[in-house]
This record gives sequence, C-alpha cells and structure tokens, in this order.
Amino acid sequence: MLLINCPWCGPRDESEFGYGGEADITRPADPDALTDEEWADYLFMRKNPRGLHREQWVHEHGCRRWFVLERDTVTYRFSDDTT
Amino acid sequence: MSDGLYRRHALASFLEGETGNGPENTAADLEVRPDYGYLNLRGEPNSERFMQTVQKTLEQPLPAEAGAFTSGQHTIYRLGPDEWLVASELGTENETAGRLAENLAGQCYSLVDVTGGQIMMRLRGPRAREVLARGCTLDLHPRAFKAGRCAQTTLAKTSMLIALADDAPTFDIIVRRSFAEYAARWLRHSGASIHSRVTPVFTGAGGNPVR
Repeated sequence: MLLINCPWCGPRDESEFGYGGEADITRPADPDALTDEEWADYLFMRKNPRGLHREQWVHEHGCRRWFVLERDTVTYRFSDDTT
Repeated sequence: MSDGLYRRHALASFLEGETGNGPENTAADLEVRPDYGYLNLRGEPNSERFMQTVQKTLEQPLPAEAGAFTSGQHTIYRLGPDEWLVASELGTENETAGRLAENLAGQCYSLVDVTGGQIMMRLRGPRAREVLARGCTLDLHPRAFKAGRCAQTTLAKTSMLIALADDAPTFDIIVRRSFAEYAARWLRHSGASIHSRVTPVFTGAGGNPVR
C-alpha cells in the first residue's frame, strides 16, 4: 500500500485516493483544426514511462482536491516536489 | 395518504437491537448525538473580505489551519483549503444561511444546506483510539492527532469526518446518514474484537429517538 502525501492533508493511505492518469495534458484550444490523428493522440495516447511519471491524484475520501505528484514507476517512490 | 409516514432516527434499529450483553470491560461509550443543522461553505481563504464577513456573521473565526475545527455557537470544521462545514443547533441553520447569503452578497462563495444528510456520533472512552484504529488508516496516536484536530478519512471503508474533542479521548464522528447504522454496528463489533464493550447511548433532546 502506498503512503501518498496530500498537499493539504499530509500523508494518507492510498485507499483514500483516486488515480487520475498522466498529468499536464491540455485540451487543444481549437479541436476543429486538428486532424483525426492529432485528436486521437490527445484523447487516447498516454506515456507509459519506465521511471519518473507525473500523474494526477484526487483525495476522494479526504479534502477532495486534485493534485499532481511525480512517481517512479519502477520503485513506486514519489518525488518530493508537489504542485 | 401521508398518515403512514413517520420520522425514524437513522440509528433507531441499531439502538433497539442493543441487548446489553457482551464483554464486561468498557472500551468506549458510543453516544448518538442529537441531529444538527449543517452548512457547507466554500470561499477564498486568502480573501480578507470573505474571511471577515464570515467571522462577523457567525461571530466565530473560521479555523485557519488545515484539519482544525473551532467550537462556539457553531462547530466549524475545515474540510479543505476553501471548504468548511458549519454545524449548528438543528433549526437555526436556515437563519444562519440567510444571514451568510445576505452579508456575502456580491462575493464569490458557495453555500449549501446539507442538513439531514449526516449523523453525529460521539465515541468516548479509554480505548476509543483502539476501537477506531482497527478500521482506520489515519495515524490516531496522540502525538499525531491532537485535540482540536479533525480529518476526513475512511473507517471500515466508510467516508467520515473524525474530530478529536478532548483527550478522554472523545471523538466526534460525522458520517453520512445512510452509512450510520453500518458504522455504528462496526464500532460495536470492533470493541468486541478487543474484548471490550462499545456501549450505545442516546442523549438527544426529546429522549429516545425510537418512535
């Protein structure tokens, strides 16, 4: 079980959180201008790195806020910086 | 047509089913608190104007720290960076909400009356920490969770707000109405598994909630 450091509540058990996938994906400003490939890339394609991964979490059973953490997908260790 | 409808407390079945049998050692008393009026308030904590308007209206400061609550005429729990739960005597919440809305007019805020959705229970006794800790991942050790602190967490998979009122220890537990009976039964069972009793008590105004 992971111990996740919520920026507001502090360290809490993984079971209180929901996972929101890769972070820093922004919706294209003008979707109509995109090709089908570009749109599909935005919608479906995600990185699957071996190593550091910036990802979104939501503290569902706590403060209910979304935040971003960086986690090493090999060691499951979270980096210290929280945004 | 509505003759057949009657009010029944969410924990009536639980209290009716209390036989008084069980281990002799008391772990804690589980007091079913009278119902309160609840307001969920959201706003910008960095806005001096917002904080002062609320403080003036409620005649009580909003808790400034994360995971803290303030007591007074209302009990105000800080749920998140921009979210508070205001518990007041049942029946006064409408008036409080009206005054807040009036004074906050023009400011950015959200105010939702969530009365009736919650049940408050008070777990008090020498082994209350152990009873809770069997189903809660929160660090309840006195060095980590002190009187005046509150936290939203899960107890036996149920979302709830746990607040430590004093070092008896006395835990105030606010749980969704529909989960209240499950949570109360779980607490009693948790007491039994450490060979102690969790004794249900009802002290609400109007006596026994079973009608």
